[in-house]
Amino acid sequence: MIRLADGDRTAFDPIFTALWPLVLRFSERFLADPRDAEDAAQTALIKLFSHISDFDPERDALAWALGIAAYECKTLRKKKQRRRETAGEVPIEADERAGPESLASQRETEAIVREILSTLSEKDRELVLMHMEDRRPPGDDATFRKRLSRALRRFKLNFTGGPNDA
Amino acid sequence: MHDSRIAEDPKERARLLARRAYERGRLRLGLLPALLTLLFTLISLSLGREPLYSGAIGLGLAAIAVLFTYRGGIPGRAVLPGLVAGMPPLLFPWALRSVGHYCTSGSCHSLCLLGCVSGGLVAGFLLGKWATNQSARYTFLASGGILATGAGLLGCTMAGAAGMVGMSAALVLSSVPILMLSPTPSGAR
Repeated sequence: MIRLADGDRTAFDPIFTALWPLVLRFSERFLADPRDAEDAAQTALIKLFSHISDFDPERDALAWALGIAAYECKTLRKKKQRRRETAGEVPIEADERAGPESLASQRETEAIVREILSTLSEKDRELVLMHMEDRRPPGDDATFRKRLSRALRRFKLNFTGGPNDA
Repeated sequence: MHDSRIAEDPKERARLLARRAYERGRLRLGLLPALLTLLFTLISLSLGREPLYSGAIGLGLAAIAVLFTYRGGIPGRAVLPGLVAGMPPLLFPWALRSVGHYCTSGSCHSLCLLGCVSGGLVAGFLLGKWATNQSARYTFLASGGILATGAGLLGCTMAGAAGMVGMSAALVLSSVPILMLSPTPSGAR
């Protein structure tokens, strides 16, 4: 890190190779979606290498890198949350009065639910969301219930990791 | 590596973007020395130097400062010390310009010339002292010396060719002996 901060380009590859898996794994723990984790890890490393010339040799290099990654994860999470809210998606409400552990658990569940929703077909996803919002389409109610029941079954199977999971 | 493979592999994409960010960061680092050289050029212009001359030296000095900072290593470390050491030969003639001439034993000399030589001596002394703490002390001295001389030339043109040569010679004469006489410290960087 000190060598790279001093302009020694030969130190770039070893540092990147060492940091990428660590920062990625760290981001994966923060974010449920692996693509988000990759994005956060990438942004964190871009920021780190952009400011590496300011690196203070007295500091712990790994702690510095993970600090940037944590900040990027939080930013990405907030950005996604805001996007969901502005897109009018159904927010799975977390009780703000709950303790931090409970809140974190609720957020995790929210992320899992959203992830499973993303694995469903567009029609199934629409049905499940309608069900969650307590909406009904105009027309044949019996057909809707039948289709909803099938969509919910697929949702549950994906949730529990059943045979339809693949 | 092929572009399509870079786009597909997140690690390679991140590596490429991080490398670009690193190079951009190094260039950004050169901004401060570039601003300093701009200030020096403005001082030179305020001395009434020819704009073309001051502009050309200032531009060259800025380019060297940015290049050294961007590349890093010993020359990169010598940029700020070099520019700081270049301030005496830049400012001494400026401070003495209103005094005019001094006369001894029947002949008169410009005080600017004296300002340039003494500025060069101070610059060399400072650079020599700073270079003693470096592992590659002569590389540091040469890199810093180039920048100090460039900065000095911006101020010493008012003393003519004699002022410029005197300043450069004084810089070398006061810095090299310091390095030759001082032992290399064990903790040198």
